[in-house]
Amino acid sequence: MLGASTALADDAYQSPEEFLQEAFNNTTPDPGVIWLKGDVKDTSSKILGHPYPELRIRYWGEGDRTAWILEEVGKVKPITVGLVVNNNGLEKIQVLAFRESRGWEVRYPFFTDQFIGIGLTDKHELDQTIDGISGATLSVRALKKLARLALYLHSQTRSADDTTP
Amino acid sequence: MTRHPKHKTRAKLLRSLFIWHRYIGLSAALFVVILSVTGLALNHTESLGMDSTHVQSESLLNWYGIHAPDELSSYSADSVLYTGINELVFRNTELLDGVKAPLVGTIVYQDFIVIASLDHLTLLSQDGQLIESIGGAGGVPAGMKAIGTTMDGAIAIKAAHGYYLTDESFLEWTETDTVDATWSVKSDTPPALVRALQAAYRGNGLPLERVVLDLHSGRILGNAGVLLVDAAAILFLLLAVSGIWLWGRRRASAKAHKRKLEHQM
Repeated sequence: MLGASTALADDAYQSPEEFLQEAFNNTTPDPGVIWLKGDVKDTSSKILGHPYPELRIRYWGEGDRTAWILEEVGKVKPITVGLVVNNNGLEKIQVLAFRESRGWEVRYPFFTDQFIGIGLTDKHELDQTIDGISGATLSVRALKKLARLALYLHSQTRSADDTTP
Repeated sequence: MTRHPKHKTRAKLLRSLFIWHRYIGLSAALFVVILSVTGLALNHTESLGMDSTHVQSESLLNWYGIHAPDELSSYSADSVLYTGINELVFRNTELLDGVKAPLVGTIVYQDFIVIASLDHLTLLSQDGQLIESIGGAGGVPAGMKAIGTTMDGAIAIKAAHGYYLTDESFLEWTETDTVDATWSVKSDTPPALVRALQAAYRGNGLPLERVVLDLHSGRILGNAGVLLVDAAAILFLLLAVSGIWLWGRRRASAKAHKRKLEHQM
């Protein structure tokens, strides 16, 4: 089913299925889920500044790599972002759907390339500075939060088996 | 003493221009107020909460053509009605964020309420909290048509390309030729709920920011409004030009008068 092509909405640049196929060379592994409860929920909320809208998040993992499809509101509408974490560093971040009227520049590689190789500090901050984009402050902030969240959740999947509800 | 005819014509022109300047100013005043107030508001949309506040005025909603469908179809799960209206989904009258429409069915499954839409499954807790929204990347079959449960406790999906079975983890999907399942079917929506949902749908359709933006650009009156704001902008330009010209003429005239007085002394 993952191989099936998906019609893209006007505000979508790439479907999650295509992103995962690219990330795993057309052999997307079976998904796992991580429940946002206890410390994981608290830390996720701290990173985002609010609770994640879902209580459990799906991810795809193979070896030291995990892929995530996460959403965060830029100004009023959610931005869908695909992220690949490899050995506690961000390997790829890509905007899959952008629904806001402004700030869409965050989808371009001149911005997203800054995230490659970035990791998390002990305080769950990004360990490198990300240059912003004038007029896209909220979208930049949303992507930085999602990068932190993916890196944090990746570390949690490596430390415990959370696939059982 | 009679004034030189050239001076007389110039004075008449100046007076005429002054009167025109005054009338243009009066005509532009209303636009200045509207553009200033809406411009200030638009600069502070977030702090004023204009992006998250929705207009409830019936006349404005009618003006924008925001209408709810006359007939609604709902699905029942655990004595709660789930209704999709265009892109929005309601749990009784409460708007559900993160749930996709159109709905094709709802079931109660273990501790979850499972809402099936065309290409997404949404899992809610019994009290309506969003647990997870699963799309195609999570293995959900495309073009879902119905959702149900089988006798041996699996979740059954009827989709565009066949039947699928999954379990409570929603991690594995099995394609199958036929399924003997109890399918979710539409429930009647009580008239009182239809009216409440229509009002709720309309009440979520028009952000205040959109109205203020349209007032600012004139688009609230359609193309005519845009032309009206264009005309106002031209009035502002005329005001600026005529104001500067009048100021320059008066200044030159005052200087000439002063020089004449000095010369006479």
